Amino acid sequence: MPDYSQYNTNAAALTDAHVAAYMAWYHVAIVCYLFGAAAFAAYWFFRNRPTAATGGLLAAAGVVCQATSLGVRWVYSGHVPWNDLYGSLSVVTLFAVSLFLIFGARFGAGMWFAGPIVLTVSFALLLYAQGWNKGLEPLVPSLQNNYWIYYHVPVVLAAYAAFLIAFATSILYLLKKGDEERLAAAGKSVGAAVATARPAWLDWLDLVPASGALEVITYRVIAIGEILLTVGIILGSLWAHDAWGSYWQNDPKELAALTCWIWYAAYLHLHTRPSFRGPRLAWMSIIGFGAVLFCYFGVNIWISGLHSYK
Amino acid sequence: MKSVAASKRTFVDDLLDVLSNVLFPVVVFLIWAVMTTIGTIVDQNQDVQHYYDMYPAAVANLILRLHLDAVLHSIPYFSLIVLLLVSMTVCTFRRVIPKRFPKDRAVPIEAFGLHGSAQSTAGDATISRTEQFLRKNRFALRSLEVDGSHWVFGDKDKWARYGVLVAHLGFAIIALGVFLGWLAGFKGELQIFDGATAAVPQQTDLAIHLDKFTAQFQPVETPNGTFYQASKFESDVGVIEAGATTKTDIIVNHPFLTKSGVYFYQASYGFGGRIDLTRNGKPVSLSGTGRLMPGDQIFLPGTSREIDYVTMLGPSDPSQVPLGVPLPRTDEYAMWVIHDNVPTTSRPLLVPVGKTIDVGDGYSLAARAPIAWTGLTYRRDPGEGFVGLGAAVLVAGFVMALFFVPIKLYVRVHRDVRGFIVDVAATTTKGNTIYEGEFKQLLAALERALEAGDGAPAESAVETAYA
Repeated sequence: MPDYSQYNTNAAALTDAHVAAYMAWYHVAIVCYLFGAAAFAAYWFFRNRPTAATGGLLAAAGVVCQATSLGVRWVYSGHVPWNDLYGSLSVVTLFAVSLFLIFGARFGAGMWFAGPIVLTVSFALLLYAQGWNKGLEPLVPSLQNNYWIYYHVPVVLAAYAAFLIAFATSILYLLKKGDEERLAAAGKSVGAAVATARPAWLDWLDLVPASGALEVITYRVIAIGEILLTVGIILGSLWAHDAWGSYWQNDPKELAALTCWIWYAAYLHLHTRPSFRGPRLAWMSIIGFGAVLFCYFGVNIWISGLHSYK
Repeated sequence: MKSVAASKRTFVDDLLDVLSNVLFPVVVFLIWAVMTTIGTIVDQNQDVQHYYDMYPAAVANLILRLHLDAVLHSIPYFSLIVLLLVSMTVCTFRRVIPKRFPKDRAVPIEAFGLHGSAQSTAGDATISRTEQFLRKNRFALRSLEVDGSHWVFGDKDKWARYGVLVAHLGFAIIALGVFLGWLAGFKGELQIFDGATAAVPQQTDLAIHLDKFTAQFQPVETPNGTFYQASKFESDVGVIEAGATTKTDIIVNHPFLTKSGVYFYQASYGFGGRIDLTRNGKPVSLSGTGRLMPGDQIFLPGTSREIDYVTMLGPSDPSQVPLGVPLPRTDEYAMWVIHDNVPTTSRPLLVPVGKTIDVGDGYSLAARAPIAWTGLTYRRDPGEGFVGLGAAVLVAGFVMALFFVPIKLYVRVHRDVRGFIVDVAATTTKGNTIYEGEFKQLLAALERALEAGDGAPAESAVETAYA
């Protein structure tokens, strides 16, 4: 007969109050991102400092609330909060918004125009993640007794966050590039020619950095993301070596992550050719983020494998 | 001349040109990505029937006829990686090294995307001040006199130019490690019952004895009921290697490494069913180990009856109990009794441990307590050290190549009627835009450094063009 006393009843003893505690912070973060996205969208039209500052403050407040939510969940569960899809989505949006704020501080007003894209995607991801919140559960054995979980998961999620930022800057790049080409076609001029060259709702593009600068930012973010993804895959391989007896299992998640790695490696190789820099690489970045989404959601939700943590 | 030179080109030259062209690995990358995606989506190496069960017949036919069911272990898939390695090697020697390490030589400065000029009022001190300024800005310098002009060549973060080489080297070392593992490694899985010993087939002096397997589970409350989640698997074993026994316990995430380099991992577990069979009160011996595993069949001698063992349910392995179904108080075995190929009941029989049931034709079956077994994966991989080293080298190369921006400066100091002029051109490994802003600042600062020193600002002569 099994020894019933070995059963840890802490999980059963956890009440909804614990879940409500971390969800309260989570919901505040969602609201912050929603209003932050609205403030940054307003910045497209008003283009004044207070509007951007409001968006930045709301995004920062969202980051703090989300970090608190994750911390509370960590304390109550007794293990890392990114053990399931809900927790990992929360972490990836936390990283994405943090990275956006860091780049905003580094590159100035130009990056704030990416705010509506980054914060709307983050808002949507958090809203979606709620449906996967299963409360506080004990860790399965493969996630226990190891230190890789502290490094592998956050590093990979940080890579995803970097690719999300690159996705946003690539969209900005395409808009700006199109705008520059429209203006050039209109006679590289000002006044009436400019007015007829683009719709009024795109006037905010005046303040966006030149397409060349956006292309450099995208490249830099993807370079960081690719390094993080490489390190994340290697850390995952080391963990797989300890847990499953092989550093590579051809598990769907491993393969999908490899696909992302290959795709962005192709991007970085093409970037060495000046003739390929430009819209083609921006589209590669956008499609690459699609591959990241597939790796993240597609594999976790629809394809069963060793990484099907939901 | 051109046509003569062209005519001397051989097929090998053309082939090497193709292999060293950066578009070649990009195309291979994209094909690799597509094939890997197919391998992700389509289950690999399954029975034919599996694909017809999973997909509509037309899709299953397509998968099987295009061999998409075995993409990841196909020759084309491995060929892509070999092609990448070949391309990487050729590219390294034909393109990366020559282009990444441009020679110090007089160049047409105005032809560079990043170039500009600064007029000096420092007179004969122009050269020394220029060099001093560039050194302060972390440029390593070399000088040369060409056609009456003084040339200074500066490099910043030159070491980072090795990044691509280092990354390529890391990739090659990983490939070498994988090849070694494939060539000289082995792996497999042992299922060992409590108290039993199993030998590693590939290494006959290595065996493992299971003293005890422990499985622990935690109840998790959900709105739909309680389910039991595994919380710990532990195998207390004795590893017998060359006659010596080492006692240890193996848990998930903590493999045991033998002296001969074989890892043992906690991979799976289960419980073997145990029954006593009697006919008319006399014991009937069972063939095999006497421990039942799911799918096992027992043919009852002298009858057309058989027992099909399904599984064990109960507190020994509560994770097998479906969500919301109460956990049985004792372990019980689910099994079918088949007579003339027809089940005798509409649902599987549940036989609690300690109970005896009549299965017909004088046969009785008594359920005994189950016995645990552990599944231990073993693996020996002589290439894993190379894979680890290659991974570290690859990351180092990536950081060097992607994070840093090596700059090469070409500086020409010459004199015309206005005095000393300092022409500067810059190249990077990542295009001009990435260094555009810093280059402007560098030129402006250089011009300030070249002022006469009498307090009078020199007239601005910075002219920067950006391609």
